[in-house]
Amino acid sequence: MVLELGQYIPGKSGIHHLDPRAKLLGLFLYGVALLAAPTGASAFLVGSAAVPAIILAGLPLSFIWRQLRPLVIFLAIIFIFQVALTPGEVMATIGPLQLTRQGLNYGLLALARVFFLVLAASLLMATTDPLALADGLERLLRPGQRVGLPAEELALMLTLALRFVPTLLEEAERIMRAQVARGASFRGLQVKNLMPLVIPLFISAFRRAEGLAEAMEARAYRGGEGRTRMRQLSFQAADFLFLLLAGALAAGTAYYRLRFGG
Amino acid sequence: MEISLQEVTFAYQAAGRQWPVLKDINLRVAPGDFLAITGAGGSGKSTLAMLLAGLLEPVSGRVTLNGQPVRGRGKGIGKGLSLWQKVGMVFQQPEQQLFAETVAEDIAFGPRNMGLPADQVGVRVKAALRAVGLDPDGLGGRSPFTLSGGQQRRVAIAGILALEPEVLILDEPTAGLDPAGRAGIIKLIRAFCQQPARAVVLISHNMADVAELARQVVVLHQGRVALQGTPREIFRQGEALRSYGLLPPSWTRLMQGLHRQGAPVPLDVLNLAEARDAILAWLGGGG
Amino acid sequence: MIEVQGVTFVYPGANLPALAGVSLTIKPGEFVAITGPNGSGKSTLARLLNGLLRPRAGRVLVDGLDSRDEQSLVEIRRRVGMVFQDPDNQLVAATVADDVAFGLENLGLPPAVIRERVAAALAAVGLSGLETRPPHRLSGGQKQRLALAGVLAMAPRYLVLDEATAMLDPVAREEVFRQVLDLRQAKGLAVILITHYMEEAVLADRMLVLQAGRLVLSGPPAEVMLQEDKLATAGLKLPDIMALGKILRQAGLKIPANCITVEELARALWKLVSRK
Repeated sequence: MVLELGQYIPGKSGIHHLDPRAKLLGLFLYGVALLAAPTGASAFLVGSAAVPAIILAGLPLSFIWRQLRPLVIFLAIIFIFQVALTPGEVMATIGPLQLTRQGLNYGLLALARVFFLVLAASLLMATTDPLALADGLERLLRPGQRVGLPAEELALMLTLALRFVPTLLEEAERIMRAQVARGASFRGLQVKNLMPLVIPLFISAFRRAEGLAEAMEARAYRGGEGRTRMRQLSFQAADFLFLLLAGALAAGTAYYRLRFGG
Repeated sequence: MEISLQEVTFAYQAAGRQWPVLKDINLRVAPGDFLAITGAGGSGKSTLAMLLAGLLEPVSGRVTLNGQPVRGRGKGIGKGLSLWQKVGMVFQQPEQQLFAETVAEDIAFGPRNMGLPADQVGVRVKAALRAVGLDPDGLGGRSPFTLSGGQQRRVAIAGILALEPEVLILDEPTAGLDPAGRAGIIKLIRAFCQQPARAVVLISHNMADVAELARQVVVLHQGRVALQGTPREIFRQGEALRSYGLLPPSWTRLMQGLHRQGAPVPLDVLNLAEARDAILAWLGGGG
Repeated sequence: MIEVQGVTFVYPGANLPALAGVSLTIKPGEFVAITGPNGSGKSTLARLLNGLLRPRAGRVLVDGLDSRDEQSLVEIRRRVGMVFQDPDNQLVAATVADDVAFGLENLGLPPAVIRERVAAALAAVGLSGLETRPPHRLSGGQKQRLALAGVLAMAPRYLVLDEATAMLDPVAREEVFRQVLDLRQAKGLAVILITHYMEEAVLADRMLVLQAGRLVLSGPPAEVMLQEDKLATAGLKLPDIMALGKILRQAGLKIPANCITVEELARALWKLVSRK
C-alpha cells in the first residue's frame, strides 16, 4: 500500500489544529535532535518523543508499523552495512563478517535516524491538510524571496501537483486498460512494453499543462507578485508550546552531545 | 461470440471499503445483436462496458463467453485468453491512447500483440483504415498527432477493428465531435454491424444515437437495470425517462408534450420522418 | 462593449490564418452564439476576446481597453470571464473553495472579501456545501459549474463559454446551460456561447457562423437558419426541431419558420388544430 505513506487522515485533534508552520519547524527541530544524538540508545530515546504526538493525534499505534513496513528492507541493509563495516572491538564473528561494539552502535543510530524521521514526516502529512502544508511551506520560504527564491511559485506547483496527481492516476489506469484491450501486456517492466502507456500519458499531461496555463492566465494569473491568499495562518499559544518542546528537545540533545561527547 | 453476464455485481475497493457500482446484472450479447446501454452519468455504464470486455472482473456472479465461464482478460488461461481477443473495446476519447510514430504502426499494435505475421498485419492495417473511411496510402505513414480530432478518433477505432473482433463495444464514440465527425462515426458503426455474425454494444447517453442505431436498449439507473426493451418500448415510457437522468431527442419531447395536452400521437417515434408522419396523421385525422 | 475590428490571427508556424478580417461588436447584456465546424476559428476568436491571444492585425477593445496593451490585460480578463471545454484542465486548486478563490487571489483582494465572494459564487451555481471537496470527486456538470463560479466571483461583464458543455452528458449540459441563462438574467451578464450544438445556438439573440476563419453569416437565429445552403457548406445542420418544422411545411402544414424550440413548435401545431 503505497498510499499509506504520506496520506492525509482528517481529524480534529490538537496536533491536527497546529499551525502548519509550527509543524514544519517542529519537524526540522526534531530532525536536528536526531542528528545531534550521539549514540544509538540516545537516538531511540529522542525519537520516541514522536510517540506521544502520534497518540495525541488520535492515530492508532499500528500507524507506526504501517510507516515502518515499506522501509524494513532498506533499514535492514543500512543496519547490516554499519554493523559489518565499522572497525572496533569485536563482539562476534559470522563467516567473513566481524560484529563490533562500535558497529552495533552506529547501526542502531542510523536505523533510529532514518526510521524516526520518516515516522515524524508521515505524522506531519497524516495530520496536515496538504493545502495548508503548501501554504505553511510558502510562508516559511517567503523571506527567501529577497534572494530570489520563488516561494509563491513553489507553493503553487505543490498545490497543482496535489490537484492533478489523482487525475493523472485515473488517466493512467484508463489508458492501461485501453492498451490491454489491444492485447498489450504490462507484466514485464521493459521500457519498450511501457511505451503504449507512457507516451499517451506524457502527451496528455503536456496537453493538460497547456490547458491549465491558459486557464490560469484567463483568470488573471501573472505570477506571485500582487497575489493575496484566502487562507490565513495564525500562531496560537499551542503552536508556541509545541515549538518550545521541539526546541527543548533539540537544545537538550545538542547539550548532551557537547557535554558527554560522541 | 456470445457474451453473457449472470447475476453480476461489481464494487470498487478504496480506502478499505467497497463502493458498489453494479448490482445483479443479467445481460446477453449474441451475434447479430445491437445493444445500447444508456443511463445518467454515474449509473455504471462504463463499468458495465469494461466487464463485458473482460477488463474488470465481477465481485460476484458469472461471465461466460460462448457458454464457458471465463476470468478477466490477462487472467484467463488458454481458451479464455483467445476468446477475449474476439471482443473489441473502444474507450471514451480513444484518440488519447494513440502512441506510435505513424498511423499504420499504431493500428498494427493490436494485430502484432496477437502474434500475426508481418504480411497479415499489413493487410489488416489497410483494411481497418478503409473501414473507418481513411486512405491507407495517404495517411498510413503520417504521425497520428498531426491529424484532426475526428480523424484521430477514427484511427483509434481502426486500431480496434484491426483485431477483427466479433463483438465491438464502444463507450460514447461520438462525444465531443461536431456534426460531420459524428456522422462519420455512426456510418462506420453501421457498416461494422452489417457484417455477418457481428454484434455491437453501444454505451451512450445520446438518445438520438440510441434511437437511430440500437435494436435492444438497457437503461441503467444507480447500478441496476431499470428498463430493458426495444427502442420503441423504451421511448414509450415517456416522461419516466427523465427520472433515470435521460434526455430524449427533441422530437420525442415534442411528442410527449403534445400527448400530455391530449393529442393522440404516439410516444415511440424514432426519427424525424416518423415524427412528421405521426403529426400529419393526427392533424389529418382530426380534420 | 467588446469591439473586434478587422482582426486577423495566424498561429506560429501555420500557413493559413486561423481568423481573417473578422469584425463584430458585442453589447453589454447581449447573448451571442458563435458557431462553425471544428477548425473554423471559433476557439481562436474566444481567446482573442479576453487577451489570451493578441491579434496579428486589427484590434480588440473591451470597454475601450485594447488587448495589445499589457497594462490592461488583468482588467480585460476580469471583465471577460472564460469557461473552457475540458473541466479537468481548468480547475487549479485541490478544493472547491480554493479553486473559486484563485482568480480573486490573483486580483489581490483582501482575504475577507475573497471568502465572501467565494461563498456567494458557490451559492449562485448551487455548489454550497461542497467547499472542501477535491475537484476530481465532482461530476462533470458540477466541475463546469465550479469553473463558472470561479469566473463569476471575479464579477465579469462578459462570459465566454468555449464549448463548455461539449464533454457533458445531455442532462448535465442542460443543467449548465440553464445556469448560465439564469445568471445572465440575474446579473445582466453578456453571454458569448461558442458551440456546435445548434439546439443551444438558436436560443441566442444573435448568431454568428464562422467558416475557415471568416465570418460567413450573422443575425437573429431564425434568419440565419433560413440560409440553409450556407449552413450546409459550413458543415452545420438545422436543429432537429427546425428540421421537423421544415419537413412539415413541405408536407403542406402552415408552420412559421421561426419555431426553434419544442414549445414553439407545439404551440404552432395546436394553433393549426384550433383553426380547423
